[in-house]
Amino acid sequence: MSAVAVVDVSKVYPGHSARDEPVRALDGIAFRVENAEFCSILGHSGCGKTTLLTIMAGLEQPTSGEILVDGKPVGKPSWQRTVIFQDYALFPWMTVAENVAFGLEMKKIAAPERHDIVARNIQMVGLSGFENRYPHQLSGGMKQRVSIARALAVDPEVLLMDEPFGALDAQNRSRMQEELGRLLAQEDLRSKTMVLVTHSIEESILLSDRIIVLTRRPGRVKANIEVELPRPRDETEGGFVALKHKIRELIHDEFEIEA
Amino acid sequence: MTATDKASVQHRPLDLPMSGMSASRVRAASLPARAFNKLKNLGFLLALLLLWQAISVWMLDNTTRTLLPPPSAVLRAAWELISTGELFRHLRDSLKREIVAFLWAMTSIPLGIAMGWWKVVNDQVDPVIEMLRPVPPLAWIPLSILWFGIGDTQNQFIIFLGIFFPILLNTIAGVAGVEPNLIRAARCLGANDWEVLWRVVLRAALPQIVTGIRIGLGVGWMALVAAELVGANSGLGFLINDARTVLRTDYVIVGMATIGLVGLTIDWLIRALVRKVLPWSRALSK
Repeated sequence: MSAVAVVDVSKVYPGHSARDEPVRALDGIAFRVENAEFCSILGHSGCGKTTLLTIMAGLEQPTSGEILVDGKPVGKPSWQRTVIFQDYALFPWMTVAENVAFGLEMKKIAAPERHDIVARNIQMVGLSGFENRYPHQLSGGMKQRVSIARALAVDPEVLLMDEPFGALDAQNRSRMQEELGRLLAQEDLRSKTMVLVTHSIEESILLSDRIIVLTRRPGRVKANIEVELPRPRDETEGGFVALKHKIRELIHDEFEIEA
Repeated sequence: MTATDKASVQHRPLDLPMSGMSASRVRAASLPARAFNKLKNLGFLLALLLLWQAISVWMLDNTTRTLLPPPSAVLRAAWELISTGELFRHLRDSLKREIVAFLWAMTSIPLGIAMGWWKVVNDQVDPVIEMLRPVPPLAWIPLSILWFGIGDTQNQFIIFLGIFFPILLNTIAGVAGVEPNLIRAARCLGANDWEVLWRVVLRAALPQIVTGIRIGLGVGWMALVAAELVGANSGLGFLINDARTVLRTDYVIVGMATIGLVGLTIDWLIRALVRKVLPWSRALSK
């Protein structure tokens, strides 16, 4: 239940050595994600979109500007803004159930309640029966399900996703997109604010209420698009295709600028 | 499991769990075959032993045979040393030294974690380590004898040096090499600094720490024998050196074989322990 405001965020990395020019990754990024909105940050690789997400999580500090959640500046990382990583970042020494329980333990939630929440979330992502498997015994798609369950178990206000399906093959990716769409439409998850970083135009249209298109190097907001297509969305439907073309044009421009 | 899982199930790694059935079938069917395979691999070793026996018995004269007793004589000597309890006594002393030194060397684990985690600690301690590390443990023996005299303390000190550095270096590397996203994930799930260090960094570094322990115990075991050769009144190193002075080469060889076998057993035990305690660590359990 939170609105996120990105206020004039810039990020400059110092060069690797003294001779190198500092790298301006993000330049004056500003947009708002309303409460319970699903927002995609869309851009080419290298446009700083992942950096933006880690700043939103509090894992990195912006060079200037700030992130406000419900008007309060983001401090240290906390369970109120969990991240789903592209490489899953599951703890390999923990079973599926232990991974999902980790955040709950950090929240000091008592064991009986913890078990309930873990079981509920594992069931929600369709992994019942796999509780005692270790991550290396799971496929990529299953690992990402665990990572989703782990992030949702702590009941965050904002869910941040960094190309969550980027490491999956095409078939699995579209399946997981579809499923995530279904999952997030559930009653108790609809109130959460979500931010998804992706380079896939289809993925962003499929899932988002709002799409922020970033330019590349330095990343600036190129377009802030509200998607008003009915859900569940169909990739072959006219509005979807039209929007896809529109965004592709925007991004295509970007290539020419780069060249 | 939902229907959508079917695609991902096919991507499951081959070792588990779908192939579990076939794996157990292979194991069940081939127990005698496996034993035979193992024995087959020992063929060359057996041939060498036979050759040794033949050379020693038929080609060497009585004087030179003293220098290379045949395997049969070595076995006889082994039985002598075992039945009198002498071998066991030396083995016990050596193992005790190795264990005591190992317990002391465990201090390298917290030190390594601190060095891998806090840059300040690493900056300060690293120059000291870099100065001491290249000196082989054996080079310390003369000084060690002067400091501690002949006996347990001297030996333990040398073994300690052999074990300490491999564990330390592997612990530092293990802690420094923890996947950054694991730490980030833990922070986003609400872990504080202490919880990140204890629940994530330490666990993630454990396989490499164990590798350090394996290497360390191996180096320590070698250092032990050397330390006992020159500065001890008991132990396997003392046994073989003592036997040399009275020209009991059969005892020497028994001692050497024991040292080798024990070294192998220690390594095997650690690997078995790792399989048991760190089942998720595939790299080590192979």
